[in-house]
Amino acid sequence: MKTGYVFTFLRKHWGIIATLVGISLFFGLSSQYFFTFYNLLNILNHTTITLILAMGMVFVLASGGIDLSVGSTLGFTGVATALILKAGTPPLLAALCGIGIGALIGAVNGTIIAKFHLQPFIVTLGMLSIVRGLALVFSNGKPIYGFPGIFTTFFAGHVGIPTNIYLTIAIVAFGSIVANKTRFGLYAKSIGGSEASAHICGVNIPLIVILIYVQSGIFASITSFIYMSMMDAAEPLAGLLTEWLEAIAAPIIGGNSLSGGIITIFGTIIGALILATVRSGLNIFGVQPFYQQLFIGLIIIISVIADSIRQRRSRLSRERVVT
Amino acid sequence: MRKKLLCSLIALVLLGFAVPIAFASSEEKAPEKVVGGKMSKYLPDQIGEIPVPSKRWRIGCLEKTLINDFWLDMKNGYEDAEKEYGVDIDIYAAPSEADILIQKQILDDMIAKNYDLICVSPITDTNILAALKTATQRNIPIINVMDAYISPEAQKKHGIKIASFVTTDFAENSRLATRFVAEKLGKEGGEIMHIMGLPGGRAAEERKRGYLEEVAKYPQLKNIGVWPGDWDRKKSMDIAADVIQSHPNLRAIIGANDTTGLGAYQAVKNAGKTNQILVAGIDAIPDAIRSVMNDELVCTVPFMQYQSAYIAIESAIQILEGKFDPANREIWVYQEVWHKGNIKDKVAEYKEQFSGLKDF
Amino acid sequence: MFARSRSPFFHSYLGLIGAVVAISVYLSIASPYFLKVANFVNIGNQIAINLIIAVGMTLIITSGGIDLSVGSNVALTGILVALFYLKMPASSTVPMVILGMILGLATGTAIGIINGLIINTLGVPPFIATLGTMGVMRGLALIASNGRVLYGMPKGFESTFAGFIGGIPKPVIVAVVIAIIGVFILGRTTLGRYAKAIGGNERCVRVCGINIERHKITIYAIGGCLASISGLALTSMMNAAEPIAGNFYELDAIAVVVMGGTNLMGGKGTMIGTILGALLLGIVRNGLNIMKVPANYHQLLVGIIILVAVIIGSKRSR
Repeated sequence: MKTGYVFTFLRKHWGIIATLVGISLFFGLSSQYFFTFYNLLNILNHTTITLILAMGMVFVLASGGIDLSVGSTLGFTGVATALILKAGTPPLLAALCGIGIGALIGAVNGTIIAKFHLQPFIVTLGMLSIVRGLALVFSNGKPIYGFPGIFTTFFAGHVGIPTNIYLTIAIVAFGSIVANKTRFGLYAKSIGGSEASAHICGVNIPLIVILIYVQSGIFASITSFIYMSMMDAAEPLAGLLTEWLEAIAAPIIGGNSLSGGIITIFGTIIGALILATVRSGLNIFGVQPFYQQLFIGLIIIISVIADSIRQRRSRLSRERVVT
Repeated sequence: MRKKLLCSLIALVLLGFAVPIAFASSEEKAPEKVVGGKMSKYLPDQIGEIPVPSKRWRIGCLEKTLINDFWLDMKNGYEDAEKEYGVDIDIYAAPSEADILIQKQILDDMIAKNYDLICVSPITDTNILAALKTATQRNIPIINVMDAYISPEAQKKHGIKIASFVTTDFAENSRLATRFVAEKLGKEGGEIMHIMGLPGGRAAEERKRGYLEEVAKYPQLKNIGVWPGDWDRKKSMDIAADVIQSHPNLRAIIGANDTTGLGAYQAVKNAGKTNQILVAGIDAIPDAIRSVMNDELVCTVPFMQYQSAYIAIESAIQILEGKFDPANREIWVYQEVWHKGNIKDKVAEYKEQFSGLKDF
Repeated sequence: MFARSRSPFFHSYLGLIGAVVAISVYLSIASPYFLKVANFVNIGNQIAINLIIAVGMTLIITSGGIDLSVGSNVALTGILVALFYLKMPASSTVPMVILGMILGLATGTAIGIINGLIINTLGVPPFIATLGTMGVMRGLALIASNGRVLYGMPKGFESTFAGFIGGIPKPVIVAVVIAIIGVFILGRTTLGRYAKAIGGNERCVRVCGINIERHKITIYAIGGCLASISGLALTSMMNAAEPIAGNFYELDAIAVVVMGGTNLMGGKGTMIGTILGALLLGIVRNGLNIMKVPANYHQLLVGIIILVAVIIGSKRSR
């Protein structure tokens, strides 16, 4: 029973697990610096930003949507929280305000998408621009620094290992529970699977859609706390490109579908790890950044191809059973 | 069939990885050269003698990006110093100037490789502070080469020790360019504008500051504003084209770098106003030098990136050999304006420092 | 036929036409420089590059796909063509100039075909496939140029897209011709009808026995080819090829297509809407520049305009 579960689990994810193991072995065998405690911790540390953003993104993707504005939200909530902190607000309250702002941006996204029946891609593209503009306007284009130590220690300190790793584990656990054990997770998947049937089953679609984007906004704001604590400054340009692209790429590599209906948290974790491992490995090798872009592009394509082959095969076997 | 396809794909990727690595490892290391206590090449009076390295020190250098001649010339500076003094240098860079987090992550990875010394060009004042702290904890000396400046206060607050700081002043770049244009326009003066880089970036904001400060010194100059060109040639051209329309009396455009300047010049040329509007650039990329020689851009201000990198490695050797004079903790590299009048001489003088000058 | 189609035409584009007119009226009152021929030349030049890409993107999005690699395609085409001119002997002769441009178009088309193959044959979702090729092509552009700006192309190439014919800038003429062909392809040809059908219900089309693969690959090839035309025009206009050119062009093009009323899920596409969308975005950008809006506010306002246009559009279409 137990082994059967492990077996199906492995069968479901063998493609990406093999990719991750293969990449790690390759780098590990070619560089003495790769399999060190410090470096492995680095990889985990680098995964945190992508992974928390991705936790919001998986629900958005599951509902058949996409959120391009998470990077800008990361930038703006960072700037806003920094300004609130600088005004002398206690850190806890400031963090709550930041989360509130992230939630608000998400709510605007969700409301426009749900109420006007607009494509999430274009709505969040517009928001990407607007929110980045707000970050620039509020920060006047300059980084804001000088936060209370307790804030930065909480979000990017060291207790054995970096505190943001603990935080990420907690958020991933939360995401996993929400995805698998709650009605919210089920509804998110059902909207992506078939909006019409979800509607017939009595799901309050607009509310769920709004909540999905609010959640994404909240996770983006938590990411911004880690980001600004890592840098000890709120950068108006934080999350400009790589961060949000990877937040979308990681779930897709992990087997979440862009057309919705699926959530795999485990896949998302592996997807984020693959991206961070490739980056770290290429850095350790000292591969030129030009080649890095090329490799990361290739890795994305190849892991998705592997996944689509796996899916096609499982579909084939299912069809065979039916006929 | 599919399995075969998958296997071949994976093989392809591994091959893709293997090729650059093969190249990297087949690169011949320069033979051990015995250098007997040379004087510093560019700052002999200030830095003094560079000792013979007692071993092949491993130095990791982190640049902002390797996109455009500017950063490539800096790389050349590092590499020429590597050959000259017989040390091992690895060069890293973020994919683009917007990748502030990625740059920190690269530095994290560099620290994993236990370099004897690390040279960094941070993208912002703060983006790599956390990683620098780790480096300090591991007793790796750090040299801050150009760009963002890790101030003594920031060092103290974050427990970072910066051994040396070698740079050129950004704000001074645009001050010099603006001053040159102001003098060229003379008493008559007129309307002047600035096309800045990507708002929010350090270089862009500092050059904007330098421009605004310098313009304020000339009552005959009227600043009509600052537009965001995002370091983009086409965008800068569009902006300049629009502003030339709305300000028919515009006399000068200061570009945040040569790319923005050249874009703006294209618009000036299209509008047939090359006699009326002066366009200045910064950085002295080859295209801009050609342009200055052809009487297009009125001037450009080279950033001494090659020299800075070279000097950084000289300082690095002094630090590693314990011969470093703390008085040289901050080195501001000299800057000047290159214009039609002096550019031929300058190109001849600096040929070895700017790879793009070889064709002139 | 014409009489029948006229009222829905105005009805479905009323929001966009209204927005274009309203912003134009505002700008012509607020700034004395807006209503000048030279300013319209500027707007035209600025729109042209985006519109050429957007025409291809309309076709792709209508068929239910998306192409994020167009921006990288623009850069790679420019770099390869520039390298060709700089490395080849006698590159300033007319046949060589033409050969260079043909090579450029071939590059773009090849990228499109690669996208099509990855999406169709290997079954990768278009978003992620082209996200991957976006990284790969940008990487290739950087590697090929070694990160440098390439310049010094032959005069014959530079003058292909620079200058005027009958008072109209050449890029505008190219863009208009391409847009007209686009309207024709989408509205009057089998390919256009199949694009809509595939985007509407791919399974249904497949069951009808139509060769979906071939049509999809053709559509991506057209998208790639148009991106490379845009790359050639940009390189020629700027007099230089930059490896980082075309950054975010894909987002601009997609924004314009959706503002025009094309459905991102596929099945419904309008080329005229795309043209109007491009016009609106171009006028807004021009307005931001001539009105001296502070640098930090540009992005904010562009985002608001995109959202408002899309919201108004959605109300109209229902």
